[in-house]
Amino acid sequence: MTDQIPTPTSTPPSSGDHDGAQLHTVELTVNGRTSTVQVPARRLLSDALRVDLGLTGTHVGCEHGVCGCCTVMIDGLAMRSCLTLAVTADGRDIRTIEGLADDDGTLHPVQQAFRECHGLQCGFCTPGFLMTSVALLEHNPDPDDEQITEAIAGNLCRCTGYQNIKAAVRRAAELTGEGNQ
Amino acid sequence: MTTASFGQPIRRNEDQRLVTGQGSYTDDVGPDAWALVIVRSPYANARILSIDTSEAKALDGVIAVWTYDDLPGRLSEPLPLLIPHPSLVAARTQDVLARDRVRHVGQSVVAVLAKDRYIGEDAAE
Repeated sequence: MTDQIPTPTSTPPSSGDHDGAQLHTVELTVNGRTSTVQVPARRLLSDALRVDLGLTGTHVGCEHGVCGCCTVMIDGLAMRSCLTLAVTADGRDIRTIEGLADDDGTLHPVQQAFRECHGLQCGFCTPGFLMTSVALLEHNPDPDDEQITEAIAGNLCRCTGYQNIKAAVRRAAELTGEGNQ
Repeated sequence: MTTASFGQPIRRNEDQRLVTGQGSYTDDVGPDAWALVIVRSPYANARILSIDTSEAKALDGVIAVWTYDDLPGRLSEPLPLLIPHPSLVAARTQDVLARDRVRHVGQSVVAVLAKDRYIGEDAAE
C-alpha cells in the first residue's frame, strides 16, 4: 500500500465556510465494496464509515483512542478508526463488523462465540471487540489466555467484566479450529 | 422460559443484531442529526466572570449557543430531586449549565448546537 496523498478536487475552498472546506476524493474499500466519497481532510474514518457510508455498526465511544469501540481492520490489522483520517484510508482494505457474517447470514465464528458465551450485554463495545478478536485470531489462531488478555487490553467494556469476553475469544479459536479441519 | 431452561445458559434474542452491527443506538439515528457539544470547565473551582459566545454564534452551521443566562424558566433552576429521601435535610442538585461559578473540572458551562459535530467543536473551541 502506498502512502500517497489523495488528489484534492477542484472544489474551491470558500473562506470561513466549513461546509465549503476543500474536499478530497477518497476511495474506501469496505468489506470488499469500493465507494468513492468526497470528504474534508479532517473527516475521521469512523465518521466517514458511519455518516458517508451509513455503516453505523462501527461505534464511536471516546473519540480519542481509549475505548476501542471504533476498531476496524485496515489491511488485516486492528486499528482505531477514530484516530485514522478518512483520507489516509484511501485505497486500503477496510473490514468492519458488517462484513463479518456471510451473505446468507451465517455468523463468523467470533460472532457465534460472543453470542454463545454471553460476551456482550448492551452491545456498544462489541463491534470493537469482535474486530480486535478477528485480527488476533487471523494472526494467532490458538492464543493462550495471556495473549487474549493482551490483545483485548485496548478495548473497554462497561457491562460484562471481560471474563465472558475472554471465554468468547477462546471459544472462537476453537470454532475456527473446528471449521478448518 | 420454562423449567427445562433452569441451569442452562439461555441465548439472548438481541445478540444476533448486536454482533452483526445492526444495533440501533442514539448516535445511529441519522447522519443529518444535529450535534450538541458541551464546553466544560477546565477548573476545579472558579468564578465565571464573563462568557463571550459571539464568535461561536457567528460560525456557519451553528444553530444555537446557550449559557446559563439563556436558560428559560424552570431550566434555570437546579435539576429536580426526583426521589427526595427524608434523611436529606438540605438536598442540592446541579444546574443544567454552570451559574456564576464552577465547582468541578468537567462541569458543563456552555452548550453548542450545530449542524454537525465538526462545526460544533469548532464553535466550542
